Amino acid sequence: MAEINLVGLTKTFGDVVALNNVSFHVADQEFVTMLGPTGAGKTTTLRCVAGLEKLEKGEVDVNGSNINELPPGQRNMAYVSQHYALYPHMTVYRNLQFPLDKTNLNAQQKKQRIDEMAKILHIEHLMQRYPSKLSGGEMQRVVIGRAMVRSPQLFLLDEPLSNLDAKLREELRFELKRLQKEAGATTLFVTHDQIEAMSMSDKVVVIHQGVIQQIGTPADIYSYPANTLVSSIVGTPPMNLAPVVVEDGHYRIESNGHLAVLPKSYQNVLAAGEYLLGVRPEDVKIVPESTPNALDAEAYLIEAFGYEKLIEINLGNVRIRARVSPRVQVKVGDQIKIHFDEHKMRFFKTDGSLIRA
Amino acid sequence: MASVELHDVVKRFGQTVAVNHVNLKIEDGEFLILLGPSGCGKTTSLRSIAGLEDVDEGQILIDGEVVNNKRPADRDMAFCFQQYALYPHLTAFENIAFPLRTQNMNHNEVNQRVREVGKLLKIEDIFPRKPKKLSAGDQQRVALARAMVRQPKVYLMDEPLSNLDAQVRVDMRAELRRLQINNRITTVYVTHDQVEAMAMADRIAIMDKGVLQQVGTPDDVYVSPANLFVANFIGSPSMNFIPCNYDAASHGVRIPVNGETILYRLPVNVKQSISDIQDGTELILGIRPEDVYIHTEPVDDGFDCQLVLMEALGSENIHHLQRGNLHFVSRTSPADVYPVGQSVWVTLETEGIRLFDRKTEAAI
Repeated sequence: MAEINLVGLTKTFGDVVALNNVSFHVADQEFVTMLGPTGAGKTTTLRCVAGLEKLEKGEVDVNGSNINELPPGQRNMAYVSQHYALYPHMTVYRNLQFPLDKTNLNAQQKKQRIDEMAKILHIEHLMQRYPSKLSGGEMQRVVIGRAMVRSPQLFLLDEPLSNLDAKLREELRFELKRLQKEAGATTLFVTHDQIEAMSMSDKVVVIHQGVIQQIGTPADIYSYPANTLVSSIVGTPPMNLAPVVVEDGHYRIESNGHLAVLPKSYQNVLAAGEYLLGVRPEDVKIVPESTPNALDAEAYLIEAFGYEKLIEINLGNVRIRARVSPRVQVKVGDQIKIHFDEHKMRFFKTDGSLIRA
Repeated sequence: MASVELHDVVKRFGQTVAVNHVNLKIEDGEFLILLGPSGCGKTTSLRSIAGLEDVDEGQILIDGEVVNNKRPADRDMAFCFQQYALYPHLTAFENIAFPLRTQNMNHNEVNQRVREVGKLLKIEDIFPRKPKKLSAGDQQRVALARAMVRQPKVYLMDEPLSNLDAQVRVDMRAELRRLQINNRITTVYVTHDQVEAMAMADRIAIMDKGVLQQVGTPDDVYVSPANLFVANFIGSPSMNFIPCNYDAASHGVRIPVNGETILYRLPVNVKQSISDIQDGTELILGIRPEDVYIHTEPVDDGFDCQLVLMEALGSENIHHLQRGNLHFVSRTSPADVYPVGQSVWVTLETEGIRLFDRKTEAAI
């Protein structure tokens, strides 16, 4: 049982504000991911929670008690960093046993814990090997096991999958999530990879330059990004954006002059003026010539991925993308008609913030 | 304009065979991607074409002419390698202009060509800067521009987008590919990223451990992988692999699951193509995630399993299914949601079933 509450964390390094009033809550057994580009403040937050960085302002609360002054060793948290190291002169078994040496467990209890961990991580067959004989993925599992074997109340994971190749990352993403659910471990996870954030998290905290941009479920931040920064970080390719002018219940796409009726939900929400229209690639449909109110566009490039195609589309001088079925037949240079899914259109102010309909 | 051929090329480094009897023809105007994990021999193959490595056996031909003994500079190719060595004392602009100046091109034309390529790669605003004032991504774009400013017979590129962040990489790969569609300069491009390869290539040549595994269009290698290596390497999430044995009596496969056996009947078209296989033959059934269908009620030809986890990625949902030691995934539209933690029934798309020999790992 463990929950974390972060209140107004602030931290500067020289002139750089690494964290600017960062507050969020990680509930018991919840998997929360901090997502953001390099330098966003993700790792700094994690290190503050672990007690490896001293805060200038703010509070780290665990289960309702302020632990700002508690030394790292007494926080009962497991911290796995990107640069993991196993003891090279110890077998996997010994590596897993090491964190238990200082505990009060008796020999049998220790063995039981290690065996359990080995089973969960599927590393039973590796127990007598030395780290130099392990693959990257095996090593990473041992590192995670070593962090978990103490049954800490909190897991802090800093890009634990980033040094692995793509296939292994996919596999471990699933295993890590499964493990977390089985163990019911409260987890704060840091990554720059939006797929990891989307696939593993109960809740995502999007952070940029030390400032939280949005907190929400993966579905929330995908469907209703709070601003264009979030819309560009979440989803690949990112949400399409096109400048539009709104007037009399209509919007006009500036790059090609196309005029269309506003979606119903936005009819009474948008005042006349300039906005950014956002549409996810899968909500851009290629439609037959005869479709009413369709937009004229040009297919600039087709990328075929087997299970889907991405069509790069020119709307005048604005480039957007459509994610379509592999059966859609379009060639480079074709003049096509497109249509946006009315329920999935989002409008942003010119400063980038979402207007909720 | 040129074709490039590798005839039985072998390159060794000490005991290691980096390139093992590779035969490959890159057609005039083609965009060919050499794809594989690190250490597979793709970069060595590229460097051999460039003339930066002497091959131990075999021949490199350009337009049918053997060039083994031609110096790199005489092969009329433009390189862009991962370790982009920019001239540190020259501005970005002068770095890009350098290959043109050595050709004694007149001043105005140099300016025009550099600006064109600068516009394409969106680096005009960093023209006055010297390399040490540039981010890794910008340095990479300058190196790419320096290669592309020329109109050589062949472009050779080794992971030219690897240092760019994800979103920029998606933009750049489209620009690069579109440029090549316009100028049709023969291009050999190396990457370890299968998404990049699928997106850009006319054909992909997949290598592993120095050996060419398959050459084909992106569609070919995705739909009809030649062996398990290719099937696993192409596509994300990977193709599901289910170990099984051929059951001659039912023209199906027996899938062992924690002591039990599931008998799965094979569709007619698959049956016909494997009619000469003996009963009990060890096979692997391969099926892409989008060809695994989930049902909430029992169905004919379906088998039941647990839905253990769903990953909602926004544009698609990935469902993790488990039955004993069997773990496989299903890809669906974001609208399809099933009860996690409960039993579901699974069927496989007939057209999507691929069989591999478990011993040779080759497709059947």
